[in-house]
Amino acid sequence: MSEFIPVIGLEIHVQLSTKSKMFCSCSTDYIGARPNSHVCPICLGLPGSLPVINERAIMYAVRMALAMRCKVNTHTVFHRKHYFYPDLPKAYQISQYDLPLAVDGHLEVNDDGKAHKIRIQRLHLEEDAGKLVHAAIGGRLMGADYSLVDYNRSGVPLMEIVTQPDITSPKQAREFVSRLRQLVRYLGVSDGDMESGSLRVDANISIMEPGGKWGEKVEVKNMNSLKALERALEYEYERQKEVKSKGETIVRETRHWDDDSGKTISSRSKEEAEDYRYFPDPDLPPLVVDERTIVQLCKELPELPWEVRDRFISDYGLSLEEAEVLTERRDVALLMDDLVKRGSPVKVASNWIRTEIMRVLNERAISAEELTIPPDEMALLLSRVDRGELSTTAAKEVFAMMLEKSLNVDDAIKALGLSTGKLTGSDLEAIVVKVLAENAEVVEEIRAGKDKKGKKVKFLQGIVMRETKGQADPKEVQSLIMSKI
Amino acid sequence: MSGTSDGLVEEIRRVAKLAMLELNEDEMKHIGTQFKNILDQLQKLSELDTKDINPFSLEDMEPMPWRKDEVVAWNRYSEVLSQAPVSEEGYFKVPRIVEGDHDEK
Amino acid sequence: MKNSEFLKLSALELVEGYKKGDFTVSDVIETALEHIEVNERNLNALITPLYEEARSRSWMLDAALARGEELGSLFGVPVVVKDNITVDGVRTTCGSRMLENWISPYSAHVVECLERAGAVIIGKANMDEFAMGSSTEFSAFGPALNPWDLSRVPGGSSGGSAASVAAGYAPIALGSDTGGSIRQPAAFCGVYGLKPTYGLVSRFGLIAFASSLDQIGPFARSLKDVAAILQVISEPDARDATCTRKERPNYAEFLNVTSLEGFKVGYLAGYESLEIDDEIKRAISQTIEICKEAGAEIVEVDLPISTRYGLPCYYTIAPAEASSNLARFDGVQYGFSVVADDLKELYLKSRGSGFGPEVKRRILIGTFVLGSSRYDAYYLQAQKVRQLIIREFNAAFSKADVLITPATPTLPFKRGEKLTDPVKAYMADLFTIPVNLAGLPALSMRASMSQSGLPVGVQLIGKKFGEGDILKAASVIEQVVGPAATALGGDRK
Repeated sequence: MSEFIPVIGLEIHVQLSTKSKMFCSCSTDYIGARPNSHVCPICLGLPGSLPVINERAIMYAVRMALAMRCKVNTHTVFHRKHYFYPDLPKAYQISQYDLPLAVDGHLEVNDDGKAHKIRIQRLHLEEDAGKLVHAAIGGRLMGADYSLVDYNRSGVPLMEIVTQPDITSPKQAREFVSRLRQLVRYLGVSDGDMESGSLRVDANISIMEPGGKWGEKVEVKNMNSLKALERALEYEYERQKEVKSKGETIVRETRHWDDDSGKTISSRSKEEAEDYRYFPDPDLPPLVVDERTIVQLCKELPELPWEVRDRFISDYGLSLEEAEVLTERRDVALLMDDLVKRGSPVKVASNWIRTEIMRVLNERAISAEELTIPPDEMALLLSRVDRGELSTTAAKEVFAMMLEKSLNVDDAIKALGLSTGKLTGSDLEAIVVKVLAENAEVVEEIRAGKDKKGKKVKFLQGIVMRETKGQADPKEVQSLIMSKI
Repeated sequence: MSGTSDGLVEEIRRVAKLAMLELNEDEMKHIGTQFKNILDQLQKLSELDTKDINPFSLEDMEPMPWRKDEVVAWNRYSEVLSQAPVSEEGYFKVPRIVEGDHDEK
Repeated sequence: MKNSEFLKLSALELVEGYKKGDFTVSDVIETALEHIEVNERNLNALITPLYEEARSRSWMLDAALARGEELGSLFGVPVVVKDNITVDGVRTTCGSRMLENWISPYSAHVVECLERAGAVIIGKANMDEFAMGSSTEFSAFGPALNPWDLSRVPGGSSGGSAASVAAGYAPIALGSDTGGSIRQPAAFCGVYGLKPTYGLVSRFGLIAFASSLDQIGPFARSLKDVAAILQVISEPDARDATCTRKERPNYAEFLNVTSLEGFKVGYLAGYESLEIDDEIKRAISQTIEICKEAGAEIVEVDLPISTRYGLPCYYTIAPAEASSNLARFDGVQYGFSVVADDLKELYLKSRGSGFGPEVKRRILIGTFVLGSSRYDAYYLQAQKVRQLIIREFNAAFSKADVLITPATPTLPFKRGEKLTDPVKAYMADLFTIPVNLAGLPALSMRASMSQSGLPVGVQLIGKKFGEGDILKAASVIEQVVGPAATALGGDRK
C-alpha cells in the first residue's frame, strides 16, 4: 500500500512570551495562578471594554515572519471570529482573516540529510481563549456533568502559523515542528513548550492516491508532544490507508489523538463548516507596520539556527551532526562561539559542550548563561586538556569542582590535590612498577595468557591512573604496563 | 429574500440558531413578517453601482495605536466572580457541554 | 433665590453660584433629588436614581468648597448619565432585563472625566434596550415620557437623558448616539443634543451597540453648557483605539460670535418637498434666515444617496455590529441567566428571555447579513455605500461649513404609535443616520415651539472635527431663539 502518500499541512499556535496580554495589561504569567485572578474588564469581555494592541506582540510576530522569509503586510486588519463557547468571553475571538500580518514564507527541514522546503502560507496574530476544566474523570469533556471556566489565559497573544500541505511524512511533520520550536526560541518570542500548551499543533492529513487524487482531509488535534504528533499522524496515515483498502471513503472530520490508547478518535463530522461570521473589528483601526520598522526588525534579527549551523561547518570544520547538536539551542551555540573566541580548540570545545556541558544544562534545566563557570575559566580548562596538561578524567573532576564550589581552574585543581604538571617518564614508570608488584597474581594471569579480552590490563591501567590522579597519559600507562609484563 | 414564507421561516430558524436566540412560535410569526420587510429595504442597496469602491478605505483614518507591553494588575476580579450566575472554587461554572457544540481549542 | 430656581440654572451658572457662595452643592443636589422623586412617578426618565451617592458626594464637594480647593469646570453640577455608560459600583442595565442586576466594576472614561471636573452623577437615564429604538418605549423598565406632553414619547434611545434635562432634573446629561439617539430625543424634548465626531470622545465604558457608529455626547439647555461638557468628556483616552490623538480646541471660544460673515451655511436641496412636518420645514427656513441675517452665505447642497440609501445602509451595518457586540451576553459570566441542563440550552434560553423583541430582531438581521453566504451582498455592499455617503458629504462640505437639516421628520409622536411597524419607526432616523455613517458631528437644537406647544428641532451638521463651526452657527441662532427652556411640572400640558 506504499503507493498512498500522506499529504500533511500544519496549523501551529504559538503563545508569544510578552509580559502582558494581547489587548489588555493583565499578566500572561498564569501558570499555577489561582483561577480568574489574571483578568480585567477587557479580557473578561465585560460590557463597555475595548481592546488596545500590545506593541511587543506585533514586533515578535514580525520577527518570526521575517525569519521565515515571509512577506510582511504593512496594512493589516483584525477580524472578529464568532462562536459561542464558554472559554470565549466575548463570544468572538479577535483574529486575522483575509489580511494577515504576513504571508508566503518557508522553513527548511532536514529529512534524512536532505533539505526539504515547507512553504508557510500565512502568519497572523490573535488572542488566546480561556481554559475549561471538565468535571469528569481525567478532566474529559465526555461524560462531564458540568465544566469550570478560568479566564486567566484569555487574551494571551497567539501567533498562528499555517503551512502549505508540503509535508510528506509524519517524521517530517515532527521535524518541522521541532525546527519551528527551535526558531521561536532562538528569536526569543516564545518558550515553545508543547507540554504546557504554549505551542499547539493541529494537523491536516489526507492521502494521495496513486493517480494523484487527494483524499478528504482529516484534522487531527490534541497532540501534546513531538512524539505524540508523529505517532498520531502515523496512526492516521495507516487508518486512512486501511479505510481506502476496504473500498470505503474517508470522512472529512476532526479527530482527537488519545495518547494512552495510541489512537485518533472521531469527535464529530464536519459535514457543514461553521459560519464564523467574520467581519473587520470596528474597535481596532487597521494595523500599520511601516517599511522602516520592518527593515529595522530585519536588521535586529539574530543569526538564525541554520545560519549558525552552516557557519560552524564552514568556519569550524565541524560535521553536520556536530553542528546540529551545537546549534540546537541558541545559548549553547553562543557558548561555542565564546569558547572558541577565548582560545579553546574547536574539537575540544565541541566535544565538551556536547557531552559534559549539555548534560549539566539538561540536568539542571538551565541555560548556558546560567552556568556558574565563567567562559574564560571554561576556556582555560579546555586549553589545558588540549595541551595534555590534564587528562580527560582529571578535567571532568576539575569541571565538577568548579561547578560545585564556584572555583576557578587553578583553585579547583588545588582543591582536588592535583598538580598541574604532567606525570610521565621515570616518575610514571615508578608508579607502574609499584602497582604491578602489588597486583602480582593479576600479572601472573596475564602472563599465562588468560587476558584474551585485555580486561585485566585495563584493570591495572585503571589503578595506575587512579594513583596518578589522572595526570598521566593513559596510552603511555598502557604501553608501560605491557613492556613491564 | 424572494423565497416562499416556508423558506423564510427556515432561514429565520437557522439564523436564530446561529445567534443562540430561542424564539417562541409567537415571536417566529411576528418577526417573520417584519424580517421580510426589513430585508426588502436592505436589498435596495444593490441598486447602487459600487464596483470600484474600497469598502474599508483607510483615507484619513488614524492607524491603530500601540500599547507598551507593561503589566498592570486589576485587583477587582473577585467582584466579577461574585456576580457570576454560577461559580465554584473561583471558577465560572457552566452546565454539561454536549459534544460537537464546538471544538475544544 | 427660591430653591426651585436652581432647577432652571445652567451648569455654568451653578458653578458661578457656588463660587460666589450664593448656595451650596447640597442645596442644589437636594432640590434636584426632591424634584426627581416627585416627577419620576410620571416621567420615568431614570432607571436608577442615585439619591444616596449624590447626597454624600454633595457633602464632600461642599467640604472641598469650604476648604477653598480649586474647583473643576463642572463643580457641583448635577448630571444624568445614560444607562449604557458604566459607573463603578453602580448597576448599568442598558435598559435591558439582560443586565438588570449587573454592577459595573469600572467607570467609563467620560464618567471619570465628569467626576474629575467635579460633577455629581444623580441618576442613570432610561433608554431603549441596548440603545435600539427612537421612543424609549423599548426599555425593559417601562417607557419614559416627554416632559412637554406626557402622552408623547421623549424620543430615543437616549430619551431618559433628554427628558431629564428638559424636566430640570439636571442642566446636563450624557447620551449616546448611533443613528440619532441623542439628536432625535433632544429635538423631541427641546434641548441641545450634540453627537460629536466619531473618535472625539472615548467609547471606553460605553456598552457597545454598533462600534463604528456609537458616540457619546452631551445634552444641555444652553450652548455654553454644551461647550463646557464637551471640553470635559473629549479628553483623549488611550483605552479606545478609535479615539483621536488630535488636539482639542477650546470649544467655548467658538461661542463669542455675533456675525457669520465669511461663513457658508448649506441646506438640503428640495427639503420643502420631503415628507416632513410643515412646522419643521418652517423652522428650517427661519433658521436659515437667521444665519443669512448674520452674514452667512447660504448654499444649496444635494445629498441624494444619503437620503435614499442611508437607512438601508445603517440597518445593515448597525445590526451586524450589534449581533457581534451582544453575543457576549450568554448567561455564563454575568447578567441574566437561566438554570439549564446543558450549555446550549443555557445560551438559547438566557438570550431568548434576557433580550426584548427589538433587540432580538436586530440580532437576527445582523446575524443574517454577516452570514458567509450573505456577507458580500449585504454587509460588504453596505460598507461600500457608506463610502459613497462619506464622499457625498465631503462634496457638500467643499461648498458649506455647516449644513442645516431637519433633526426628525415629525414632531414628538404619541406613545405606542410607532411600535408595530419597525420599518416605519426606522424612518424617524432618516436625517440623523447618514451623519453617523459619515462619522460627522451634528447638533440638534430647538428652533421654535409648535402651535401645539411642542418643541421643534433642527439639526446642524459639521465636517469631521468641525464641532467649532457648529457651535459658531448655533450660537448665532441661540441669540435669536433663546436657550432651551425647562418643562417643569407646572408648564406641562
